[in-house]
Parts: sequence; C-alpha cells; structure tokens
Amino acid sequence: MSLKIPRDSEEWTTFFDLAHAAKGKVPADLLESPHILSILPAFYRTARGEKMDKEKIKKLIELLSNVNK
Amino acid sequence: MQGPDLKFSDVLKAANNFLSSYHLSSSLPIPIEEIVEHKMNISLFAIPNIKPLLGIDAFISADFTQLTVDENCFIKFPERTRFSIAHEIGHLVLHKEWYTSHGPKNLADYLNFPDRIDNQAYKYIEIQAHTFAGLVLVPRKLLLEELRKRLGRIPAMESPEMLAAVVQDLPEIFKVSDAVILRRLQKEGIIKFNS
Repeated sequence: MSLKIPRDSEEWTTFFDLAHAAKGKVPADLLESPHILSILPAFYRTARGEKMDKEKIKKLIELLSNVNK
Repeated sequence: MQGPDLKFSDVLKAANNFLSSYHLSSSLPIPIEEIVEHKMNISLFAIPNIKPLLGIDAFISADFTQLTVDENCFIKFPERTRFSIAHEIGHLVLHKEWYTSHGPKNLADYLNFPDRIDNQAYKYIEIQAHTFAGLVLVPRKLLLEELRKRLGRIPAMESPEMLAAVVQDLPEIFKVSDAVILRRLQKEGIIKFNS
C-alpha cells in the first residue's frame, strides 16, 4: 500500500515530522534550521522547577515547529 | 556546569531596577503583561497543551523576544499566569547574559543542555527567577504600605493566624495567589516561617 501524499507537499512534511517524532528523532531539516533554536525555550517554568527530559524537549520541538508552520 | 553567581541582594536590586525602569507610578496591581508587551516589546503568546503535555506553565524563547504561556492556564488562572510571566522576565533580567555565553549553540547541543547544568545550579536559577517574580509583583515598599494602612504599624514575626483577617484581600490587590503573599510576608519577616 502506498501513501497518497504528494512529495514536497505540506502534508508530506507534516507526515515525516510526525513519523520522526513518533520514533523519538528530530527531523534533519529542523536540526539544521537556525530559526528553531531561537524559538525554543532558554528557560521554562514547571510546577516543581524541574528540568525537562530529552523526550519532552523533542515533543516541544515538534509542537513549536507545527505552531510556527 | 555552574549557574550565574547571584545573591539575594543582586535579585532584589534587579527587581527594584526593573520597577524603576518600567513602573514608576507604584499603582497596583503591577501591570506585568503591559510592561512586557508594550514597554519591553516582548511578544506574548498563549498556545494550548504545553502544560498537560510537557508540564510547562510558560517559557521565554532563546532569543528572549517571545514569551509563551499555556493557553488554558492563561484563561483559567490569571494570577498564576502573571507570576509565570514575571518569573520568565526574571530569567531574562538575571540570566540572559549567562545563557548567551554558556547556552547551546545548535539543536543537538540544546537537547543535552539540561544535563550539562549541575542540578543544584539549576535549582538556584529557578529560585532566583521565582524570587524576582515575587519581588516585582509584590514590591516590598507597596506591601509595607498596605500593612501600615491597615494596622498603623509594620508587624514583625507574627503568626499567620494573627494577621489573616488583615491580609486576606492582599492577593486580590496584588493579583497574585495566596501562596505568593504568604511567601512575601515570610520573606519580609512580617510573619513567622514555621507557623
């Protein structure tokens, strides 16, 4: 069964971003984007002042990249 | 990695400088949202689900131009949101220089950055921002004035029960939670810590 998503379409990009996120990987184009680093948190407030773990940081990157599309 | 070397007196000075720069009128509540958006030109955003998904109330971006809060918290808990905004501004005022020098330079580095900061140092960074937020939203001078208006004096080391009736409207006046007022009264030596 093939995916009926045109290459280079917005859906194609979203699909691969989500697929990478599901595997816990950050898509390569995001890794290379200078913009993403500037919009990520320098500091954040959590209920008990704890650090975010890597998985949560990856989820946040995914969330912000979708918000900023 | 160690965090910035700041004492309470440094945080107090920074909070007082902040109020002198951005809110000279001393009116209450401190209009932190207006200060951030209109005087500091920082964009405020509310986005959904950062609290339930990630446990984050708010964050300030690495370029220090955007401050984002959880949308649900923004709608339902305005006092908590005001404190979160002041807390993130505390990071900007106190820690921007440190982050610019020591912070991550690429995304791979970013993912490992929290692990590189000593846990105790991280805790102090958070306490410093928290302290800054309390001092900005409940400034010492204005807190003491409110007490003097009610009692004709500044109480010292009283039990919370003794002052409860007198201070019960302070959260509404300062637009912060009861817990923030309690901590500020303790910090100023007005009520006892261990009561």
